[in-house]
Amino acid sequence: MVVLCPAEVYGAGDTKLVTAGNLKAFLIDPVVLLPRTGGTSICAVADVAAACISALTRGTPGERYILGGPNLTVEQLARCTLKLAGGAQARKPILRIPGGLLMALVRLLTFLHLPSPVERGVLEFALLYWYFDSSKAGRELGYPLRSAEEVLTPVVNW
Amino acid sequence: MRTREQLALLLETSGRGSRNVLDAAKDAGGLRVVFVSSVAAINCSRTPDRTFAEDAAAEPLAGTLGYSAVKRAAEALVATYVQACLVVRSLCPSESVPARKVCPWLSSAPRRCTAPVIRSW
Repeated sequence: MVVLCPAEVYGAGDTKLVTAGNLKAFLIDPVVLLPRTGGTSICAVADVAAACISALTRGTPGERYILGGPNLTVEQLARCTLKLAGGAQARKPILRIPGGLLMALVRLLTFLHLPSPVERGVLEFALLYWYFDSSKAGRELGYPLRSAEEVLTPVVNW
Repeated sequence: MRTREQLALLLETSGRGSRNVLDAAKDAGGLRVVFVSSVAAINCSRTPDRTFAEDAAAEPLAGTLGYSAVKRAAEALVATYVQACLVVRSLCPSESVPARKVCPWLSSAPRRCTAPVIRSW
């Protein structure tokens, strides 16, 4: 038995916009609104799939492996996405809002039964830092450590 | 997932689904299981100065988040199977001996292993 722990997985073909929805919002919104805090480790879906196969033969039984990648703040994630999109997107303004204020707004919208741009549960996650070290998976499973550009380019192009 | 009911449903689905796969692997014997969890089960921080590895101690912060709690519960379930299976394997070298005959305490848990459990491990 081997346990794999993927971080935030990105990839082309995310038709339900599970994670690509974040990037889509960065690209569509005229002004990117972001919390001041929060960050995440991102990884490519193809690498996670390959690691699942590799774990069957190379994983040490009973071990846990983190499948992460570059650790980015939410702002770095947005800036990288806009830069990859190029053109006017790269110059789009980014407005950083205190997390507490955002949370209060979402709670108010929820209380009033009004549509919220983000679920409260998702925002709770987004305000925290989910930074991880994947070097063990790199050593033992051959999991590649990619740059943010390498992870995000297929999604932005898609 | 916000309401208590939705969280309970998520917990139930994750737990039952994981148990089904683990039981099937045990019943089949000789199978390798790769359990895909999430970093949400490990840890998180309010500040950007911490990076976590696989052996990071669990702290309450992540446990307060619904998704993290569900993933931690699933990993805890997996751990019980790993522990039981490893014990059975070491105590029951004969593939034909049912685990409960040698390890009667195992019968107290639901659907405990019968030897051999996961032989290739």
